[in-house]
Amino acid sequence: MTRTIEELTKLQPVVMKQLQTIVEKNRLAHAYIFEGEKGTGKRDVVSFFMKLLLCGNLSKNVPCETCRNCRRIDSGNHPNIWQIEPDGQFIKIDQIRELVAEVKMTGVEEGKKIYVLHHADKLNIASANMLLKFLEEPDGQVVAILLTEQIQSIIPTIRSRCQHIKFAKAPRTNLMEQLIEQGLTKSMASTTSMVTNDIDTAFALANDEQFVLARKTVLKLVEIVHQNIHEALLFIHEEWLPLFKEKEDMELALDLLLFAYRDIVAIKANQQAVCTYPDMYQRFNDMALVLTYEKLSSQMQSILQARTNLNRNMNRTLLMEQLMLNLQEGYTFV
Amino acid sequence: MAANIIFHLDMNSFYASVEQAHNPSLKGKPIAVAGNVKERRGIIVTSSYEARAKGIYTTMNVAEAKRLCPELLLLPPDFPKYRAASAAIFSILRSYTEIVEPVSIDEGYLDVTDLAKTRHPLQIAEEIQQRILHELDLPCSIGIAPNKFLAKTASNMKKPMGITVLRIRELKEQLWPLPVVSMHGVGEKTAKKLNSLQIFTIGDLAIANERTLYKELGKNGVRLIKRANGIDNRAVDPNSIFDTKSVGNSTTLPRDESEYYILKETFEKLSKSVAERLKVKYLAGTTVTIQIRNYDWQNSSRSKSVRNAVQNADEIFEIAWKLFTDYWDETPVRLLGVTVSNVVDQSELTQQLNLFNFEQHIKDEPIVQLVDLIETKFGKGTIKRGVRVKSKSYASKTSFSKDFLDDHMK
Amino acid sequence: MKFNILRDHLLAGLNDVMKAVSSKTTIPILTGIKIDVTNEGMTLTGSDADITIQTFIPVEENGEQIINITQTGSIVLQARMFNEIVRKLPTNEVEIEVTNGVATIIRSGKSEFHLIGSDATEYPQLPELAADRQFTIPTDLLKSIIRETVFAVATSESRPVLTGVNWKVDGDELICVATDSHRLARRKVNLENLPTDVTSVVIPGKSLNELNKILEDTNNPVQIVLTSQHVLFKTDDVLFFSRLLEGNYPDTSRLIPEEFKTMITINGKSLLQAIDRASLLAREDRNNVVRFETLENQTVEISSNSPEIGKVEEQIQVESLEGETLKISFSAKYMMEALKAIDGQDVVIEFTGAMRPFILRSVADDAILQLILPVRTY
Repeated sequence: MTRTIEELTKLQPVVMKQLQTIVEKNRLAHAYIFEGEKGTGKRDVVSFFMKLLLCGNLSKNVPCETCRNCRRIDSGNHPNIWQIEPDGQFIKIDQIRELVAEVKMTGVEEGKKIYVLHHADKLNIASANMLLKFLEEPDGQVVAILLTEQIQSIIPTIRSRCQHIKFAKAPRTNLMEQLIEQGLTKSMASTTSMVTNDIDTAFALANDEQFVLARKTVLKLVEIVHQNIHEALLFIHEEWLPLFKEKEDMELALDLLLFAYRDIVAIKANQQAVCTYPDMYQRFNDMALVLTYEKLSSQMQSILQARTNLNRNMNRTLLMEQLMLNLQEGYTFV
Repeated sequence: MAANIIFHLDMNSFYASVEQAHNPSLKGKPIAVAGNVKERRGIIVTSSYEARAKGIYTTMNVAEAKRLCPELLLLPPDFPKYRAASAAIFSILRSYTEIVEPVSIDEGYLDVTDLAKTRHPLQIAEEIQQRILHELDLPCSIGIAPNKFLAKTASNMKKPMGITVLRIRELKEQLWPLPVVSMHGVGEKTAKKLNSLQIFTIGDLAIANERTLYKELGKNGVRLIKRANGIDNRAVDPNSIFDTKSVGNSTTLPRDESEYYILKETFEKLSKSVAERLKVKYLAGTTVTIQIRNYDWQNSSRSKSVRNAVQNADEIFEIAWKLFTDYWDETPVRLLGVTVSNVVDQSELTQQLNLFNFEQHIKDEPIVQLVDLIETKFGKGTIKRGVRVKSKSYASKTSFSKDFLDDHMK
Repeated sequence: MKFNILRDHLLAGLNDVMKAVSSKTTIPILTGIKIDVTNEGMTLTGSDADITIQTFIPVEENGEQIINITQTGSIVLQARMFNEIVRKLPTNEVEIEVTNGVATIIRSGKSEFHLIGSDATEYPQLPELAADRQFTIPTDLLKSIIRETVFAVATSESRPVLTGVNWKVDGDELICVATDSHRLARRKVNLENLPTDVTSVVIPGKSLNELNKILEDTNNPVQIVLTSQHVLFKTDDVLFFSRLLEGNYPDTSRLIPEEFKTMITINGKSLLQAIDRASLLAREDRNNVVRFETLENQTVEISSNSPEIGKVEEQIQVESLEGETLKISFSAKYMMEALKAIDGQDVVIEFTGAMRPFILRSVADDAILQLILPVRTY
C-alpha cells in the first residue's frame, strides 16, 4: 500500500466516508464501480475497502492493518480475493469464465469473497455479457468491485447493477505542495502536477530526462512561434519531430504546449494565476500583453485540433506544419 | 471410346426475360430487376438486353442505372415466378435425357452422348433452344463441348440465343488469347494473383508451371491449368444437388457495424432464415458456422459442433451468437453469415433427451406409438409424418440460394 | 524452528501433499507447502484452493524416532523446489532450521541449502473441525460410492452445480446423486452418526476424483465432516479438504419414475458386451445411438444402423421380460457406463416409454440406481 489511511482520507474524503458508512450500516451491495481518473487513489481505496470488509479487528471503521487478513490483502495472498487485470487489450472471456467458476465455489475461508476487476472498461462484449449474468444472480457472500477511468465505456446494463462510487479529482495545489515538500522545484512541481494526479508518477516524470527535455523543447517552440514562422518550421523538423517519435510522446508534448497557452491566457486574466510554467512568468506576461483573447483561443483550438488529428494517425510532419501555420496566424493580425 | 457430348444451357438475362414473357408489353424495352431501391442493396440483379445496350449491368447501383438510362423500367424480383419458369425449363431438358444437372435457377448441364448416337448434337441444341423460346417465350444460349468446362465456356461465347460448339482442337484460337479473368472459375482475386505470376492469358495458364501454381493457389491452381488445356473429367451428375451438405445464409450490412444490438438482431434474422430453409428441406445439422467479414474486408469463420442436430432458429441463434461474442474483438463488421452443416435428413435426426426437457417430448408419445403400431402391422413407410407435405413458404428470397433445387425433387 | 527428520518419511509426506499443489494458482502463497512443527510432530499442507491435502508425521512411530524437535514453528517453502531438494539429499538425516523469520536452512550430510521461505500466516486458514460432527465410511465403500456416481457429473460449466455430486443426508441414509441431465447416478448408503445440521452439500466431481486417487483399497474407516463451506475426509495419515459448489442442487427425486410398463432382468455383463459391439457402428456425432427392442420369447434385440457405416443386430436372452413391448433408443456410452457402475451382476431395467427416463439397478438391492434419458429418433 503506497498511501496511508490518513493520506487516503485527505485525498478522497467523501469516498472514504461513504465506504465506511456502507460497512458501519451494513449496507453492502453485491457490486461496485469505482470511477475516477488516474492517480485518484482507486487501487489504494480498494485495498482499504477490502480490509474494511475482511479485517478481524475493525475499530471505529478503521482496519487494523496488522491482522492476518489485512496483511494478506497487502501481499495478495488472501484466498477469498480474486483480482483480474486486462490480458493485453481486453479482459477476455476466459478470464471471466474462470471468475464465474470461482464464484460458483464456496470460499476457501469463511467470510466474504471479493472480486476486483481492474480497468473494467476493457471488458470486451463477450466478457461483459458473461459478467452481467453473474451480476444478475449473485450467489453467496460475494462482492464485486469494478475499477475504471472511463465509466462510459462500460455497458449500461452492467453500470445499472453496480453501486457507483465516484472518486474526486485530487486538488492540484495539494499535490504541488507535497511535491515541493519532497524536494521538487516549484516549476517542476507545477508542470508535473498538471500532467498527472498521482504523486509517484509526478516524481517519476520530474526525474525523467525525456520529460525534462520535452518541457524545454515545448517552451522553446512557444518562443520561436512567437517570432518567426520559418524558424518554427525548421525547429519542428530539427528538434521536435526527432524528439517526439512515439505517439504517446507527441501527445504529451502537445498537452505541454497547450498548457503554455493556457498559462498565457491565465496570466492575461489574472496576474496571480497558478501556472504550469512559473519559470516563464515574465515572458508569458509579455506575450499576454500583445495577444488578444480571441487569438489565444484560436491558438488553443488549433492545438486541440492537432491532438485530435494525432489520434486519427495523421502524418506527424504534416500535422505539426499545419499547427505551426495555425499558431502563426494568430500573430499576423497583431 | 467416343468423346462425351455435353451441353451447357444458360438462360439469357433470365429474370428480365421471365418478366417480359409474362408481360409482353415490356418486350423491347429496357427493363431491370432490382432489389430494394431505397436501401444500399438496391442494385440491379439482372437487366434486359435492351437495357444492357444502354450500359446497364448486373450489380450496378439503381440510382446510377436510372441516371444512365432514365426510361429504365425497374421491377421488384418475383422469385416464385422465376422458380416456376425454371421448373418448366428443366422439364423440357429432362424430356431429352435424364442426365440433367441443374447448377442454378437458370443454368444446367446435359449429357447427350447417348442421344447423339442417333441425332446430330447441333440439331438437338437447336430444337431445345426453339422449344424453350416457343413454349416459354424465353431465350437461352447453349454451349456444346466434350466436357462441362468447355460447354460452359462455349455457352458464354454467344449471347443471346447462341449455340456454340467448342472442340478441343479449337482451344488455341478460341480460348487461349483471352485474358485469364474471362475463364470460368477464375475470379478477380485469382486473376490478380495469376497476373503477378506473369500469367495474363488463358494460353499462358495452359503452359504454366504446375508446381509454382500449386504453391500459390493450391489444388485449384493445378485444376486451372488442366481446364486451360481443355481437360475436365467431372461427370454430369443429376444428383449433385440433392447432396445438401450445408444450409447457410449471409447478409451484407448497410454500413460497417459495431453496434451490439444490431449485430445481435442480424444474427437472429440469419438464424431464423436458415432454420426456415432447413425445415423446408426437412434437414437438421450438427455444426453451426458463422462467417464474419470486417470493415477491412478480412474474412474469418468460427464453428461449433453440437450433440443434438439443430433445426430451429433459437438453437441456431444461441450457438451462432455465442461463437460470435466469444470471438468478436469489436472490430466493425461488414458481412455476417450463419451456416448449418453436417446436415442429415430429419428422419436420421437423433436427440438426446434430458431431465429438464423430456416432459415436453412426452406430448408426442401417443402419435409415435400410433405410427409404430401401424408400421408394425402394415410395414415400414406406410405412414409418414404429416409435416412432410409440400410447404409453400419460400424462406429464402435471394437468387443466390439453392432452394430452387427443391423443385427438382417433385 | 529447528528439527531433524528422516528423509524417507518426509518424502512420503511430501508425496501426498504435492498432489494438491498446482502451478496454475493465482494465489502466490499456494505455490508453497506449509510446514508446521509442534511437539507432537510435523504437519505438511499443500493446496490449489479447491482441494487441500494435509499429512501428519508423528515424532515417533512404532518405537522409531522419526523427528527430533529442537524448536517448534511454522514456515511455507516453495513446493517444487523443496520437494526436489529433499528428493536429492545425500543422506536419510535431514535438518531443517528457520532463522530470522523466513530464512530456511536444509542440511543433510555435507550439503546445505539456503531457501527463502514465506510467513506461514500468509497461508490460507483451514476450517476448524468439530469432531462431534463426523461420521465414518470404510475406505473401500467410499471408493465405490465415488466410482458409482462421479462419472455422471456434468463436464460443461453451463450449470456449475451439476459438475458436483450431491451428498444429502436423509435420516440415517446418505444419498449421493450425480447427473449431467442426460443420465443420473444415485447411490444410497445407510450410516450411523450422520450430521443433522449440514444435510446437503455438492462436492466438485474433480475433488472426488482426486480423493479417489489418494485413498487406498482398504476397509479402514474414513472420517468425514461436512460444513457449509467444506467437506473433510480424514484417513489415518491424510486429511483431504475440498471446497463445495454453491447453489441449490436440483431436486431430482421427483424425476425418478416409480411405475413401469416394461421390466427386464438381464445379465449385466452380456448386455454390456452386446452394447459395446453395437456401439462400434454408432456414430459419436449422432449421440452414439443404439436401438433396444423387446421381442418374443424372452429376447431383446440390440441394433445400430448408420447409413454410411453399416448396421449391426444382436439378440440376447433375458432372465425375465414383463409388461408391454418396447422400442427405445439410447446412448451406448451412457448405457455402458451405467452397467459398469452396477458391476456385472444381473440387472433390472425398468422402462416407462420410449421418451421417458428408464432406470437400471442391481437385482440384489436398490442401493445403486442408474437413470438414463433415451435418445429420440424421428
